Amino acid sequence: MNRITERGLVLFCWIFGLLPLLILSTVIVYLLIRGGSALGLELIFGKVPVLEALLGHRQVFDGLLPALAGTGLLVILALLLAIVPGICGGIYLAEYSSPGERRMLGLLFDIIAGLPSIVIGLAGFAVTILIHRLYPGRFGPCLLLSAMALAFLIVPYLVRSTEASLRAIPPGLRLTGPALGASKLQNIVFVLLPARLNDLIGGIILAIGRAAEDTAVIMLTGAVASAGMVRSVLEQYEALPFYIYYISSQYSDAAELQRGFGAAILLFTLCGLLFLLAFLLEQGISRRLKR
Amino acid sequence: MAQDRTAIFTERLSFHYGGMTILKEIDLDLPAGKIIAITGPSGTGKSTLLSIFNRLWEETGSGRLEGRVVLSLEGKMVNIYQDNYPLDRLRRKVGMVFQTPNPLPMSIAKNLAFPLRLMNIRDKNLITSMSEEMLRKVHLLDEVGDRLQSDATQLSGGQQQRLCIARSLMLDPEILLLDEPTSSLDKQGCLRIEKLLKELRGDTTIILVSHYHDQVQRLADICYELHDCRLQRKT
Repeated sequence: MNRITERGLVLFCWIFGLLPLLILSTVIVYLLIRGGSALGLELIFGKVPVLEALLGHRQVFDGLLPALAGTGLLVILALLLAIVPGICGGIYLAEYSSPGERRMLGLLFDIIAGLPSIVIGLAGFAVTILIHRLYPGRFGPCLLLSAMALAFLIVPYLVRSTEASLRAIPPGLRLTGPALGASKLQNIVFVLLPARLNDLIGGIILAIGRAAEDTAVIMLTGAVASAGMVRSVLEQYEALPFYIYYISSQYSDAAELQRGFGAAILLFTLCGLLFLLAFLLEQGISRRLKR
Repeated sequence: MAQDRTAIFTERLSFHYGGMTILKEIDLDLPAGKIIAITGPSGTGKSTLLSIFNRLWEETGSGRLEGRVVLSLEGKMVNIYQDNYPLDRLRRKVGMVFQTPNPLPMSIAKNLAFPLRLMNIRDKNLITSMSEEMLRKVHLLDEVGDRLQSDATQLSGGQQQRLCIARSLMLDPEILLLDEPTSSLDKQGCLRIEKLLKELRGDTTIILVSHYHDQVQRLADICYELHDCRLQRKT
């Protein structure tokens, strides 16, 4: 390879490495331009005093607090449902499965990961109808159902990221535990998982993003335009992605569209905070392990 | 001193992997308390031979072993592939140190406590005193004694390798398997490990795989060369 080709290749890689950063910056700047002026306490709390809204003394109908709370709760619930099966599935694939099983299950998880979210939403909706027929009036589209559908959507990501991170452990480190008398489970719990904590949290961060942005699943399983503050996981709820979708398709004036952009900034901030939380958690655990 | 008795005995030991014969009908009678070196060209199965003595090869994939492997453990001769000797106990009694230092990504103190933690030993005073004793044994106490809570992966290569030896010694192994333990170290680090191995000789049987002939000459009581799947005694 001559020098010009090599330099060209480096430049090409550099540009495409920089491109996602550029796109992200453009999106942020665009959102701030279009929705920045809508930002403020009124966007979240409407005309209700902050403390009264937070304490639940008064319902917020003209602010995004219910949608913000609904999204946060939805993401956390979906993660709680997905993390254990996702990580355990990844551990099984990496450490216990035979090569044949690994190929077969790996393919299955890849297919699930590639399913359009609207299909999973429809499946969730079908489950709701089925349960509704079995227990009329007692179960319908709700936050729990949305969280379960989202968990189904993100489990394959967690499985594959956990599997890949465990399989990437160098043989020297992998054999350290067994050479000191560790059982397979002890080796996984005390050596392999702590050694790959960064990657595991990376997988969880991706899953947070996936759960927070999805609209197709939640609009079929429980999210509505107006439900007020969520009180139970068995009730319908408001969510920011659905609000953004709803406003962008049915806004009646410029101010409403601006609120839609404001909601997008809020969703962006919420994801950022959840990412930060996951990162701080990883740092905290790492520091504790290394002490 | 555990001398003039057998530490490792093999009879018609063969090992096959992926349709290839790696070791063929090896008969060994290695005395306890000595440093026994195994040399030979790369890829001839020296590391495999070591991993047969603690059954670590079973962790890495498929292979087929034939023959008898008998180790002197806790005062008894144990056929480690037939006598239902617990695997975790075997690996505690037969320590292993790898070519590349592999401290766990945790503190120096936690690295040393790790083998005891696996055995559910939680007595802090016992762990601390044993850790200090082992660090002293590997000449690391003066160097890291004041920063036992710092990250073990930040130590120098030589210090990491001595820490790994100390970690193995925490279990009071009767046999220590060393797979080219100085190959990634500078000369000073190398000489420190050699000095340590000389001090351990007598109490522990050391099987040393090494590429360096001068090192083998300096250390080994007995030397074997692995060539064409067979072991030949050199000295």
